[in-house]
Amino acid sequence: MENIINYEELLLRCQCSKEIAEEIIAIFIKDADARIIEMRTLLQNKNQKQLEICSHALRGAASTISGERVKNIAWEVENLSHIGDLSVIPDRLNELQFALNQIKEEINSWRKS
Amino acid sequence: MTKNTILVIDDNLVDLKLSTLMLEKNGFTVIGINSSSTCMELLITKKIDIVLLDIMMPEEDGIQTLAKIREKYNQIELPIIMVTSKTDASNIINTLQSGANDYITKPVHYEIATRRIHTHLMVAKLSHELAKSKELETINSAISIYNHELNNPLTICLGKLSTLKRKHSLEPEIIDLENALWRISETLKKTAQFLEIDMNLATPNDFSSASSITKISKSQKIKLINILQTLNGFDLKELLDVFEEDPRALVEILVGFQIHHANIFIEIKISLEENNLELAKILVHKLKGTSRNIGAVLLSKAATALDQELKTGQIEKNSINALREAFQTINESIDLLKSEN
Repeated sequence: MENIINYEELLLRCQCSKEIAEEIIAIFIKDADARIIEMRTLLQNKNQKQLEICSHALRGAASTISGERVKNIAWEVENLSHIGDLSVIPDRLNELQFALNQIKEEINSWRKS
Repeated sequence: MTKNTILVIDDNLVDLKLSTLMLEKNGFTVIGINSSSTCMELLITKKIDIVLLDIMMPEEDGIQTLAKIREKYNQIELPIIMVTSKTDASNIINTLQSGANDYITKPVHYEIATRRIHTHLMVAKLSHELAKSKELETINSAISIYNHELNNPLTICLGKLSTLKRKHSLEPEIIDLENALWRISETLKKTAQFLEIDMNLATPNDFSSASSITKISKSQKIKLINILQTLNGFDLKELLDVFEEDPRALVEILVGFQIHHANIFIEIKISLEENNLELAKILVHKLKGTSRNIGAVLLSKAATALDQELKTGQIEKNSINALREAFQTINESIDLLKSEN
């Protein structure tokens, strides 16, 4: 199973600055929470195009913090939206929320390390 | 050293924040915006050196923004690096065809991004310098044409002046005029040398009455140049450059000056004693100009000081004495020159 966050990769991206990495993850958590709520609304409205854009943005943000699990699920939602298969997206959104909560939990212990 | 300014446009707040922090850490000034709506305004009001533009954005996407920027700025004026998570060839080709200078992929590796940014800034800088040097080349070729155009009438003037000199001996106005023309000729010569162009410029030798009589020997020339170089009260370096072929012409000019200005100091003194300041001004001014033209620096300096005082109306006795002494020194030097020549 993939990492919740690949810390090694994240620190490499931040040129070894843990301070910058923590700041970015904090922004990501706030942004991802809002995006998942937005994606639920877009799904309800069957706004396929915007759902694709929104999941793409979440995937990008997750890639930036090396949040592999969120990234992979967001990518799946992006592809499903692109082909118009909205039926399984509610389950994926729940998985997304769960993966995001895992990041929130894990990040607290990482901060202390 | 001034920092280069990067405009980062990305709707993704995480990427925008990370780009800002990392690029600042790597020595840039960063302006970050999360939509392209204010980008054109920023490009006008701020000095932006390079743009990092995300492709996939809601409302106006990166390709549309790129097209808008390219209407005003070309790839040299403003390098744009597109940031994309789509790595397939067709997307990249489309991006580059739309006017992007380059692309980097998401998630961004900031060390690579920084190196690419530096490369594009360097290319832009060199392109600016190349354009500037082409501009200079055009200016140089224009100056070269003007130089040639000026040289022809100048040569004619100098020829005619030589004839006038023979007819009217050594009139001071002719000497002044000749000196002025040689100075113009000298300037043209220097400009031609600077631009490395070949010009057939006249030399005093072409017109010198002295040289038309007998040719000066090398030892005579060296001896005369040595005397002229150390002549008290004179600085003849510039004139010796002009008359290097036959310095006897310069001696003629200096002797002519002595003859035609023999009484000028007495005239100035009398005009001042009679409080005829207007006449004094004219005479001093004339002496100032002529002495400067023949390299009589001591006399020129004294005449300049008196000229200034005449303008303010406060004439010092010392200035008149200095003028007399300078006049005496110059006359003694020319006498010496005549005896040696």
